[in-house]
Amino acid sequence: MQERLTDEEERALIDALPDKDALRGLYAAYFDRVFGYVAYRVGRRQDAEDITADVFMHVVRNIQQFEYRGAGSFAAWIFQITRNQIRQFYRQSQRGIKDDIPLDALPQIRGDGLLPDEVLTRQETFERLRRMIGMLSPRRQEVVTLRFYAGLSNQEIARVLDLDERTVASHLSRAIDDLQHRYQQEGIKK
Amino acid sequence: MSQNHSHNKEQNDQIDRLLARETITDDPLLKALTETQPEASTRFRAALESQLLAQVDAMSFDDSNVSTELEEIETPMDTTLNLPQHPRIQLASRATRRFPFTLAAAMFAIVIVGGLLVGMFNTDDPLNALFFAQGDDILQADTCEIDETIPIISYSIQEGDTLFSIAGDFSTTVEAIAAVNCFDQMADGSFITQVNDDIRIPDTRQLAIDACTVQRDTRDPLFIQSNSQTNSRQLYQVTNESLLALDSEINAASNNNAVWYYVRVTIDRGLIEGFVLASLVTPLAEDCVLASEQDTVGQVANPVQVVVAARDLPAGSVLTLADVETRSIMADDIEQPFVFCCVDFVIGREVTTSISAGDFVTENVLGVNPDTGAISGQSSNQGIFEATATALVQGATQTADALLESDSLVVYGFVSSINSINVRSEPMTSSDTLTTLQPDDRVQIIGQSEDGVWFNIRLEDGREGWVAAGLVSIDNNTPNVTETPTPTPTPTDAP
Repeated sequence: MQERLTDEEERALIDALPDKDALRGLYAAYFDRVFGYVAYRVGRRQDAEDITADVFMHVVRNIQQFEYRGAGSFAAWIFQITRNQIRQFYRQSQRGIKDDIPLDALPQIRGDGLLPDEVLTRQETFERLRRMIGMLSPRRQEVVTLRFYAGLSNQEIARVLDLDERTVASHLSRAIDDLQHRYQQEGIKK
Repeated sequence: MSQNHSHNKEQNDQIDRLLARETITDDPLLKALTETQPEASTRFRAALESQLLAQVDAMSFDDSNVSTELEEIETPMDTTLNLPQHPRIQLASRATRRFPFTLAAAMFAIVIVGGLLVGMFNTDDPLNALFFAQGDDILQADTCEIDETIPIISYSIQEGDTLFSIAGDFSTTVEAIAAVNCFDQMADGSFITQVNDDIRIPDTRQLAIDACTVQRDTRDPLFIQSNSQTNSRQLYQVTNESLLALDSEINAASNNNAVWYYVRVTIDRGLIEGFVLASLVTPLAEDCVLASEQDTVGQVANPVQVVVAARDLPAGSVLTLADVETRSIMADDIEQPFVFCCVDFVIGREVTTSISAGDFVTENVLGVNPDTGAISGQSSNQGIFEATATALVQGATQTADALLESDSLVVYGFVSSINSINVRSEPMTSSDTLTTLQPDDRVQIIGQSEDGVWFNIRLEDGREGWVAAGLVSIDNNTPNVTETPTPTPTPTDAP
């Protein structure tokens, strides 16, 4: 996984824009997280690629509108854009998160040094988790996916969703409890 | 309640360490979540990067526009006389009375920058000059009003404290503390405060109510709203119903860190859930149940009424009375996005997604934007609530589990829906409809889907299919009804 930038490094890169090396640095720091989050929300690799491209295009085109408001504000901004793009996608495609997606349409799952069938198992787990998270309330779906797939901190999630950090923590905690319960139940039936 | 909070904190810390790859967990769920990170192809990654760089070339950047908030605010601060004209900042007398700053104490002033303690004695700094020049006054955002309804704890700042550490100790956030004290946020995101200052800290112990009857506490109109924001959609106007608060939420941006209750109200035509401002209602303490005491799993569900499609509806059809019907379902924990409770709220609206008979009429189906509440077609702002097809079957599923695992060979159920239900070829609403069953029809249950949402049933003619588990009740009294055929009443009136 791409090393996280420190807050100072990130600030320096943002200030240096539109310098191309700065853009490369920010892209490298956020690409995996944006793609991971989007892929999780939409499920299909092709859709995830389209939306990720739209997100970064939007970021570059509107970078002058971004105002730095302390550590984490850039991440919050990027993921607000990402959420909007995903929402637009769902409005246009009229698909639901719970739709079953064939295995070969799913994105690859990161697994350096894994055997092919282990990668396949992870892909199945991914789809299973996706469906389970799809049963949570919309807000908890957001919190869980922003946490685990966008890699945001609770504080950053609070900014993206315009909530208090405590509320995020409580949603996250309850969502995990709920998922635990489902995951165990599924495990028993298998 | 504090138990609940420490559980949250523990779990969050665990996730933090996990995501930082500092620890490997034994917990199968958390392990699965961290192991399934999607990865884009390197080809796509590289292609997008060069596309972005080309985009930068195509744009002409005007350097004067790339200013940050810091630069915008510094300018008027150069001369303190200009301050009152600045739109964002004014001198705050109200907060001064409450938390007096003295010049002597100001010598120990600290600025807290994202959790770092930084001394602040550089008089060349325009911010600092301002600070000393104003003496007893502190800066305050002009829109801030101290909300007296938020329960607080008073705390005296010790040397070495940072707002960040205080926030951690009291399970709250820097922003929340800043808001209840009306601290002004500095351009760099920090707040000014000092040693020996008494500050107010939101008392989170009192915020986390979980199931609590609350009553309207205002003569003004009280609305249940779709979101924890004052400008969100109004779902329902409360008259004198008592509301059941199920959860609390603190919205950082809305109304000065307002606390909202997520409430449920039962009305004649169904059930509505949404948010009310906590300051407008009073909890009836004796009814309150602590979250830790409340076991939601397997709880007896409340019957609620939802609108379902009466027949298959293609996208674009405008709903008429004949297209929809209501159905009683058992819903306790609410999961599915915004199902409508009542027929009159959906009539005249356009279906944007094709749905099959028996499917819930949700906001998604009607193309409602969940954030703005903008509705395609005709608009009506009432009667939406969230209901679930998953949690609602918890009760039924558990009974079925018990029966299927027990020795009774045959499990029967009857259609508990008040409308006819579809028997489907696969456990999903998109599969073919084999036949329909009428209310009170009996079926033999031979299994259930992995997620527990569907029962696998056998029809009288031997065909097998799937029905939504929430629409069928287990009949555990008469397990062998086929062995003793019900006597058919003999027709007595010969033609």
